[in-house]
Amino acid sequence: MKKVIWPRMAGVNIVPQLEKGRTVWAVVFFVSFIALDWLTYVFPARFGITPLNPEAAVAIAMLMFCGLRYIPAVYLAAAIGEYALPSVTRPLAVILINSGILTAGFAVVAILLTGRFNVSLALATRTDLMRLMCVTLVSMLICGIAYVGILILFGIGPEARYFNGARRFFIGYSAGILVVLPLLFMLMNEKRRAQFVAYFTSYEAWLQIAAIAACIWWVFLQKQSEHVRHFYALFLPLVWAAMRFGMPGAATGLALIQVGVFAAVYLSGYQPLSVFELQLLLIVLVITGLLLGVSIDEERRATEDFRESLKLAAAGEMAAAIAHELNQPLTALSGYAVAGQLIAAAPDPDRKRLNETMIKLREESTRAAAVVRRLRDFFRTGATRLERISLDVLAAQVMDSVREKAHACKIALTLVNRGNIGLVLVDPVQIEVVLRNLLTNAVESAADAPAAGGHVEIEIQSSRPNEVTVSVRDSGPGVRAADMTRLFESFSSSKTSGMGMGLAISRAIVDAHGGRIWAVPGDCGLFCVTLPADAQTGGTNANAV
Amino acid sequence: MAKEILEYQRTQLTVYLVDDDPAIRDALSLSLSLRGYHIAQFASAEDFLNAYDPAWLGCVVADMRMPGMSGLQLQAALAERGSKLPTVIITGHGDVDSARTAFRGNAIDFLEKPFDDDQLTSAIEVAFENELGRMNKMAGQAQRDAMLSSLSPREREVMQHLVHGLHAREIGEKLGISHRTVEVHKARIMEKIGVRSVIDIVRMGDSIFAEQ
Repeated sequence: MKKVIWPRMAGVNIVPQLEKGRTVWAVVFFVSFIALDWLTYVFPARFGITPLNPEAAVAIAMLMFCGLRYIPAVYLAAAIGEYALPSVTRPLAVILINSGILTAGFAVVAILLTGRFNVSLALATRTDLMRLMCVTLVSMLICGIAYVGILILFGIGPEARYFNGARRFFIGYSAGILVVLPLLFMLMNEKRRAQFVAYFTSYEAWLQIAAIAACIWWVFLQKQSEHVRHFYALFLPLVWAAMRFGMPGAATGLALIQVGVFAAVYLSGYQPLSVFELQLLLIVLVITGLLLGVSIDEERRATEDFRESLKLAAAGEMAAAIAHELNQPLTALSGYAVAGQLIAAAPDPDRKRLNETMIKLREESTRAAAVVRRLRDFFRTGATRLERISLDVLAAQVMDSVREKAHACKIALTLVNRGNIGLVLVDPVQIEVVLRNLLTNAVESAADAPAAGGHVEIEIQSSRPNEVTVSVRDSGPGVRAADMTRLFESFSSSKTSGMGMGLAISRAIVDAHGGRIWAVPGDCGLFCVTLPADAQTGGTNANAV
Repeated sequence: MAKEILEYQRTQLTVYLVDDDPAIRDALSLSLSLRGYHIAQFASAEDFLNAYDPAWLGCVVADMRMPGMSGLQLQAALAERGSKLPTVIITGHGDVDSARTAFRGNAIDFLEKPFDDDQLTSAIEVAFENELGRMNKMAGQAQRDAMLSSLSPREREVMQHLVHGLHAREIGEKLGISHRTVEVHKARIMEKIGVRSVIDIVRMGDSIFAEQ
């Protein structure tokens, strides 16, 4: 009966229960519960309440991932903990009742997070995180009131200490859950796991971990009475981790801070009551760090979504443009077909003419096929695959591809590379399309005006910090100022061959990359593309001239 | 008789094809010429306007999107020059706005590429129908002009007064000549423009002077 409660309550249950090996996982959770409970049984205060209880998170995770049918197992684990660990022996009734209170608290958190609040495992939004925090804090407050109440009811502690006891229960359990549960959640999510891997394989993460260790060392180097006052120092590495790596960075940093603080506290021979004060500060640190992390994640996702929508818009424009292109050969095809029909229907068909028409018909269908292929290519490469590349290498490749044509038209090609230009984060295939378009245009334009000497020059430089500009200059007639507005629209080609969409495609691609493309009117052709430099490598030299 | 004239008149009509795409120009002019139309091709609106002669008769078939001047701009430029050549706009980019602009400029039709051969030929037929009407009207006008120019200035004056319903005596008084002389003029006018009665003169004069 219990089995069916959960899925019904959950509605759309977005916490996927483990498909396979549920029992194995339950055993793992069970063992870790006991182990963590035992391991963190340090600094017990009055009532045997400890300042850190990560096993609570394990119990909640067990109920969420393996199902509510494991409530008895959680109860058993809690009872073992209650029986074996507290320094004061308690009556069996108290152990049984309080294990029940703990189990009920964990189960309520698990049920609320899965069912009513539907918190996603990725903890992708602030709402998810706020729900996780609120459910934890409120449940643990109620749990603490009940738990310590039972102890006092059975005369295990003085009534006067009721409030303090409940407060410490709240601190100890909330800290344990808030530090460990987000980590467990995210580790169950595939995307988040990949982010954790990325985090631990970056050198910056290890710098952050070192900074956390250094800060803890510095805090605990002070006199013991000063520790609380210097605790703020731990915000610095945590903010760093959260800003750079979002939730994975924040959650990892918090877990490390918790472990480090505990190790330091243990080594410096703390009084249990002071440990609770530190844990309260740590809860504040956890809430701040995680909220910052999730905000960073949300902001990043919004930026990505925006780029994606730009790309989609560009793709839509492209599709419309290319669909139009298809109309041209189709119109010609139908014209030739009618002509063929009329020639064949004549009393004395002109076979030679019929044959010529059929050849043209075939040419047009080839042209239509080329348009379709281009459309397909665009959408195939349309899915951006951003890579860190060096623009001068790409430009040199593109140059090689038009070299033959340029040679045939007696056009000299030069590539000028000004200073340290660093890397850009772009889709190489698409940017290659842009550069090839510009270069082909430039070569054709220069070929139209052989009197001007015939040369094409690509210049790459970091025009501003965080920007790389590619300028393509040709000796051709250039763009008239009057044509500027129409230039980047589809079909405004001044060429007799070609599809007349090169610049429109280029603009769509460059826009999708967050860059700009423009032409400079004048006596010779000049087109410029600006792309954002890769912030990670920060490759540009900031000495703006 | 009418049939031969009509056929002769049709040979005066030409389809002026303006499209920047060489394959489309080639295909359409091939199929249209096989259907017996006279075709003149232009690669751009500018080329067409440079060659344009007000005496041209027939129908302009223009692509809407072309480098330089668009088909719609060509339509407007022709109207500005007082041309009455009917236009058919063809486009791969049919949108309501440009269709509205085309029709407001008295386009015969607005065809989206790829269109059916029948659509194009029926649009051209409608255009030619209009043109034949215009030709006949022009022919009638020419005939009347010829008649009018065969009259002497005095005869023209007399005819004008006749059309306004004056009698010979009244005309004589106005022009300061005797009514007999007016009668002579009247007889000559009737002879020159080939009518039998004053009523015919009035009817014919009405149309001549109304147009002047």
